[in-house]
Amino acid sequence: MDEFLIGVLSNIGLMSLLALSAWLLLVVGEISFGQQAFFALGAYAAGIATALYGWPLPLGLFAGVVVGALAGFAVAIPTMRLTGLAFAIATLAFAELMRLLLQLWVFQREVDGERLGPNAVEGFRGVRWVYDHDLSALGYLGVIWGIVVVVLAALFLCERSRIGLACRAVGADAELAEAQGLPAARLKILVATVAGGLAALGGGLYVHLATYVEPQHFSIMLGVHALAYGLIGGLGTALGPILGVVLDIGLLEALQEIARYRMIVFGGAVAVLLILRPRGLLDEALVRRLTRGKP
Amino acid sequence: MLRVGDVVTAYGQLEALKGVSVAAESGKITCLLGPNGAGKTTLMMTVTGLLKPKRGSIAFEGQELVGLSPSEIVARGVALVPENRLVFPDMSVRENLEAGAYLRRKPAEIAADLDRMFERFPRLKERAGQSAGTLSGGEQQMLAVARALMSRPRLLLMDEPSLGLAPLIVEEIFRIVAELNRDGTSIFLVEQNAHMALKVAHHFYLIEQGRVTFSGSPGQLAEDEVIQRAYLGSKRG
Amino acid sequence: MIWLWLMLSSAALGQTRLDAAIECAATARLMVYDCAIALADRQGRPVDGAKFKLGADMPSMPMAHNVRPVEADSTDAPGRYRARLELEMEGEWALRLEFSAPRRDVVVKRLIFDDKGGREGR
Ligand SMILES: Nc1ncnc2c1ncn2[C@@H]1O[C@H](COP(=O)(O)OP(=O)(O)OP(=O)(O)O)[C@@H](O)[C@H]1O
Ligand SMILES: [Mg+2]
Repeated sequence: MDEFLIGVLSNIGLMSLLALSAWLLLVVGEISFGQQAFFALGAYAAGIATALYGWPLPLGLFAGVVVGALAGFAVAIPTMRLTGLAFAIATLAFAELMRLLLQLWVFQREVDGERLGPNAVEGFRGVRWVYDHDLSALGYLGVIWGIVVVVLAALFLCERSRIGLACRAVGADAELAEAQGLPAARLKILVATVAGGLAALGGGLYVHLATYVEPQHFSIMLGVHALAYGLIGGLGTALGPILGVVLDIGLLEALQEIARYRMIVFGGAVAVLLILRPRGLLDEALVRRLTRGKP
Repeated sequence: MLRVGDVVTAYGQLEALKGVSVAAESGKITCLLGPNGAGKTTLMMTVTGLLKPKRGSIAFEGQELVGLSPSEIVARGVALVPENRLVFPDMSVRENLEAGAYLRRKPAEIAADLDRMFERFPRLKERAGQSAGTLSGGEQQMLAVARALMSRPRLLLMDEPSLGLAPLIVEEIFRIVAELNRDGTSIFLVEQNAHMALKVAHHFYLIEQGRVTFSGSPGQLAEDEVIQRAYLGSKRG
Repeated sequence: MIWLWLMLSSAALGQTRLDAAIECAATARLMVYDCAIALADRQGRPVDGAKFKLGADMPSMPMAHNVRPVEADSTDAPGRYRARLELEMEGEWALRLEFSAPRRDVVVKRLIFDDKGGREGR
């Protein structure tokens, strides 16, 4: 396969994990501008595990997921009572704080005669596990998409479960859900924890593809895009955010001539779409129509 | 069955309930009538654990409810049909009903109850796959009642089910209330429509400005006076 | 004995870890840059015979800007390579040198691009 295509598809897979993380919170009715912070945590934690301590990649990714999920849980406890704009601003503030801390954080070790590790604004270089283990770009693409498919399958199962139904109810109207006996706060914390872990998984995979990250990577731009993908693609199914990513990165990339005007096209498309289809392309009603008859 | 004793609930400094004591008897329909802002909704939310009282006790079948979370209260057999916000709009009618059964664990029983609801509310069956937000006001009210019943409550709290509905629909709702009660569900009903409420109630209370001002059976007070006080409040009327 | 082996092995690794210096000049075509790359090993000796592609990513928006990587050509000067890179916009880019020889590796360099060219920043 063409190298460029492998790169684009890898990026679509990685971005999908971040978009799914933001989408999960959208499902429970919360808008987060801060999922990039968990992506960053996953990248740094997994990178430190493999590059500085020689852990195998799967274990490094797992460490990243644990760190991301714990952070998601910790942030959810104080913020879960906030709604709407207040929650959005709180998540953004957290993410910006994380980014500022990463800009200051130096944590280096000597590995094979080379100083590696997070080095403040200079970033974190030398996360070479994939190269040292001679995993090809195509092989790593397989790893990324294998994980995306497993995540999607798990989300589909959840969607059909009573937890999934309860999450949608909480997202539609948290107060009403609570009045019906659904533990709205607990469900939101659970989802925020999973979303933190999911973003961190994407971050861990990302740093091993890029071999380096820097705090600048995890700015609000990244968070806003991740959020927008779910809003465009639709809130009705976990395929929604994936569709959003494919539309932005994939389609616009294919049309290289307009790539330069991408931000304008993207912003305009989001605005128009949210007016026409407030719950995205694959919204609940469409998903119901498409899956009608199936259990 | 339900005993509310001297409950005080406040929003910040404002005490919306200033020491309210009411009771709902098992197998009966109890009504709470009162003008706008009297504290009816506040009482419903306090009983269901959505608001924490500053003082007082709420006993359900002898067990104290104050301090329990809403889901623990629903699990004990109290369900609320709330005022105004009725349905989860982007979820289908069927999903709304399933959400009402969240705390129950036996899928077979839930499926059976779902069928029973569709039998009792045939219009919901026709619209089972439709977004609940597209239902008419009356249908949404039916759905809200059916969803509350999906938790198998022994006591059903209803907050102004006739609000904003056409007279014909209001009659249908009250017919359903009477039916549910005949089938064994105890009902605690908040209303402003005194005329309809007095027709079904076994016992009723008047609440005005956060205080209970009358307790008795329909007929103990002239309907004119009840209507007067339920709509306007005695102090202003 | 082990000590010696460790020293040798890290020295061997040190030789293969590459360092790059990049400078790009604007061309007549908009957003197309001529990049000159100097490769050296850790001891500062020029490295010849390397095979690598030059790609780019925007640190301000990772994963979203995919630039088609271009093969770098060697030149007559020792350790000097050239590549012609087309970007999507001006601003800060992380150039990515993806090596297939002397061994598989990646070197990342940050450059700031404007209408005159691209220079290593920070
Ligand atoms: N969230 C709130 N914050 C502050 N005050 C409130 C709040 N909700 C209700 N109140 C006040 O508490 C008092 C009782 O309100 P409540 O909603 O219980 O009245 P109600 O009897 O249900 O009226 P209605 O018939 O209009 O539904 C009112 O004075 C109201 O303004
Ligand atoms: Mg009310």
